[in-house]
Amino acid sequence: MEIKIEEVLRYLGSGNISLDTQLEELIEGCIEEVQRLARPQYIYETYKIKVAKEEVAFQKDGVTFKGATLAKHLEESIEGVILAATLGVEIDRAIVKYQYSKLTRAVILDACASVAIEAICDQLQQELISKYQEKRLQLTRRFSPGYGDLALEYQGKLLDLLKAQQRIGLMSTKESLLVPRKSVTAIIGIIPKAPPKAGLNGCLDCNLREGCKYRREAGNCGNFTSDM
Amino acid sequence: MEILQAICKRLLLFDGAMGTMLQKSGMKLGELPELFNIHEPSLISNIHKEYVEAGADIITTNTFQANRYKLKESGYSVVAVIEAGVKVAKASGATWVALDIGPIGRMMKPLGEVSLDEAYEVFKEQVIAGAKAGADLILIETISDIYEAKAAVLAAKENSQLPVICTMTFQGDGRTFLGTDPLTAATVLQALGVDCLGINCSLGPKEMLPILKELLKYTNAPVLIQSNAGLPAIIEAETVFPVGPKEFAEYAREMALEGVQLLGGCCGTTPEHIREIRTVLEGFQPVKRTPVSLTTVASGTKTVILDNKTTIIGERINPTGKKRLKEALRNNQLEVLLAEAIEQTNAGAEVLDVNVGLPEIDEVKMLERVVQDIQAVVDTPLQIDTINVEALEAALRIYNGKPIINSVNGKEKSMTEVLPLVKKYGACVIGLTLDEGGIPQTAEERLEIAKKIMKKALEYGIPKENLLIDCLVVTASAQQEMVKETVKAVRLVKEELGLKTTLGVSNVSFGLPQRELINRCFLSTALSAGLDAPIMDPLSLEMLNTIRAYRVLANHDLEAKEYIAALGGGQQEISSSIVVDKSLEELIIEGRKAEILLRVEEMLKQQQPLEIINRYFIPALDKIGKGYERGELFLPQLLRSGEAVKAGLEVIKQRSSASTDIAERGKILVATVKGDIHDIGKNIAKMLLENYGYNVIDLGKDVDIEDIISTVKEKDIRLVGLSALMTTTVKNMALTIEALRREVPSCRIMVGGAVLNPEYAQMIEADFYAADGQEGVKIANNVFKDINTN
Repeated sequence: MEIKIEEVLRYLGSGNISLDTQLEELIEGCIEEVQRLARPQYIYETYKIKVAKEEVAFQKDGVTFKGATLAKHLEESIEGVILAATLGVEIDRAIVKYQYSKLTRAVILDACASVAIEAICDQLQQELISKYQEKRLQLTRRFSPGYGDLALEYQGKLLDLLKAQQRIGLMSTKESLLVPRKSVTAIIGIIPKAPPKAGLNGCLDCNLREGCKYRREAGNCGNFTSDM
Repeated sequence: MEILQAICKRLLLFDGAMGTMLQKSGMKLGELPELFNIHEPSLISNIHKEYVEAGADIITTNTFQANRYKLKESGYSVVAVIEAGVKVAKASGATWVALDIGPIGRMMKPLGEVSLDEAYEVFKEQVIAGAKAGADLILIETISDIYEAKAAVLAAKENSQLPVICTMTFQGDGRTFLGTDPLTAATVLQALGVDCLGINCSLGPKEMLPILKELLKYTNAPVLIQSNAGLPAIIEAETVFPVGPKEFAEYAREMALEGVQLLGGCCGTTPEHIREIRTVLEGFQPVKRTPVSLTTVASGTKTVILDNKTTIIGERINPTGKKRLKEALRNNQLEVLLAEAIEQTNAGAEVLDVNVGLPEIDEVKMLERVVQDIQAVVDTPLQIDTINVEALEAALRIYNGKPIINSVNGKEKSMTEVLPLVKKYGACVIGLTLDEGGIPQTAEERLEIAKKIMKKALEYGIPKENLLIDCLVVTASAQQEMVKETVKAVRLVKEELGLKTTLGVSNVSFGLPQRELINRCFLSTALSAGLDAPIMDPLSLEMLNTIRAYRVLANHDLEAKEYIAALGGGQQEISSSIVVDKSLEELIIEGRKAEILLRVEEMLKQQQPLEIINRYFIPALDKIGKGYERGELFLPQLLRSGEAVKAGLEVIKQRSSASTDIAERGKILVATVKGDIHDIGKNIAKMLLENYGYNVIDLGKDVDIEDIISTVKEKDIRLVGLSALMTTTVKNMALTIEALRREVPSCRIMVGGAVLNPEYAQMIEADFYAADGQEGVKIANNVFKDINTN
């Protein structure tokens, strides 16, 4: 699991600020701590899907997700991969602990963990890409509950489908927050040709768009390539 | 309880998987298997019967997820599903039927939102339904969170007479998802009084073997193992479990030889697996296990064994004689206690004493809250220190792990009040050698009281190893002749009763100069006499080093590894000369916490606290704040300076004679709204506001609207800061604002959080939107400028 310091700095909103050695050492220490504490785990399942205008049905289990943006995201897909990944609870515990002893460290650790879970997902996505390449298939980007009009409330249903609690210890709260916190669930479409270049999965689809400091400062948060 | 007797006589067999069998029969994954008890009882009954025919003694009901959360949208009640499940299982002809209870499916506090009480209620409903329907025992299984196990075991034991088995699920690295190791699982489950404990699911028998060997080392309870039929592989889109019946049964034999008394199967196992175990182990007599008698204390993820070593119990969380802690407790600033917990743990404390007794606070509520908050930030086991029995029970209940109770004494009343709680929660307890006659003069008399307490404890069924004796330290300045009696009593208790001993070491020097010297000398003497667990200040380097040295001399710290690691490099001293040329402002900007502490100490000799704050701290903070706003500094730099100022303020608070020395700019309540369990942003804002002199009342995260309203009213609060992280919880923020507007219209409200923006803040009718903590300070300055000028 690689945690790039540039990515961490981007999460922390460093802009063009140059680091002093003390801070650089602190961030490197946090990266090491995340690597030590993380118990990264992920699972995924592949489903036949049926895409309608405003919903997508995942066929084997007869589960339907409502949302026009998800439908658009998957419109050319023949199959859908549902994935869940987590760093485990130790990171959450450490972040809480440092909030009462070393707040700066807590904030940096939090950013490192966010970079780490994205890195895990990227790695998984790479794995899938190579796996499907042989079949001349390609992947869409990851689409998670909370993007576009796909309700965050689907979090629970998605986890149930994957038996995520039993398999990787991942749950959601009544308000659909994932616990452990540094976790991701996502849907990826399998498409028979190159992914469309449309603004799918860009800032326009993101609920955090208005207040997003990454969009303001860095163009985007790095999860999406769009510069909108 | 005939099943419990049967376990001692022969190896008992549970059934294997239910889910695997249902899938074979074509069940869709999206369906709740528990509803089959009602819809297709014959299907379930056939599976049960197959297992009975294969030789299972105990059939597990098909009720794994039959709890109120999972059944919420099913249209069926918990009672209906469980009743049907028990009925079907009983009809199978099984010798015994176990009510199956799995995890509730939601994360418990502190990482999640479900409280111990809420989980308890969920389990209680299942237990009562199952017992009423005629189950013979209760199997709580596939648990990853030992805290959840506690809720379930308490619910089972308090609401039925049935034997209780609890199995936990470990991952390949030997820990559960929540970080519990086999030692801790054994320690805590045994403390809770389960009849059997064990391991199930997630791993195949091969991977489970090392974990069960570890588990067996630390428990005397019968052990149940239900492994999966190997680690699953996906073959042509189908999940396949690779370990066949014969291989599975061979592992079962190996487990039985290790001392396992109950065996069954989990995912991927079939009646054939059970039949094969029956064949292989027919007539097998349970292996005699060597009994363990260790003194253990545990948190949810860490166990400390007190045998053959010196254990440091940190004494600092105790308001007696500590102005800052008293003030923190009165003002609900629990973060001060949490910082003490973290600091002591970092320094080397292995158990933390927790005492919050102050006459003017509600100790029952406070102790419960403090225990809950501390266990969220450290994994160090706790010692619950109170004379209030009600507070003690509340704390024992909420505690995640096996604590030490401080204390019981030789008085009849104390023993009859405290010992039943010691037994019920399986805790360790400190017995003070005093009784109705006070503290005896001689060591022999104290030994007699220790004997009396031990006898009584044994009568209550408390094992000897859970009792520690405190022979009581007197102050050398007042009762000099009695000091050596204490030391002698420690030796007698160790030698004659074989009990562990503890002492509140620091008391000895009270009233004398150079207290540490007396403390150290007394500590060494007591350690040589057999003191196991000194209650002391781990932040005192001299005391800590005395322990380190003793551990070498007593041959506990092998090859002096820890000693060398701690002291081999020479003591680190902060060299103030390096930074002597820097101004306080520069030190703050660079976030040099340690140097700032020294500098502030120095400055306090000549300057008033308020002067230091107004002339140095505030201007430095302003400068940093502006730099941050202009984008010249980024968040970690802002925080680093903020932390440094916070530490400086803390020194000032500790040194100043009265809290009035520091002017307070206004009271602000901060909270993360209901349903939201992440509060790092709120904590940043809080620190910055406090640094600017605001008295910040922090209600924490996931806060009920009523709590916010009542605190605002009670403390006459003019500004409330609310934070929310997710779109799903912003609605709770809107509800909170609505309630505040209705109940306390004069109160101003600022909001912040990842999903908010100025427009959204306006829409939910907040007064101000704070993009970050620094913005929050500006808002507060404006609000209180208006209030103070009006």
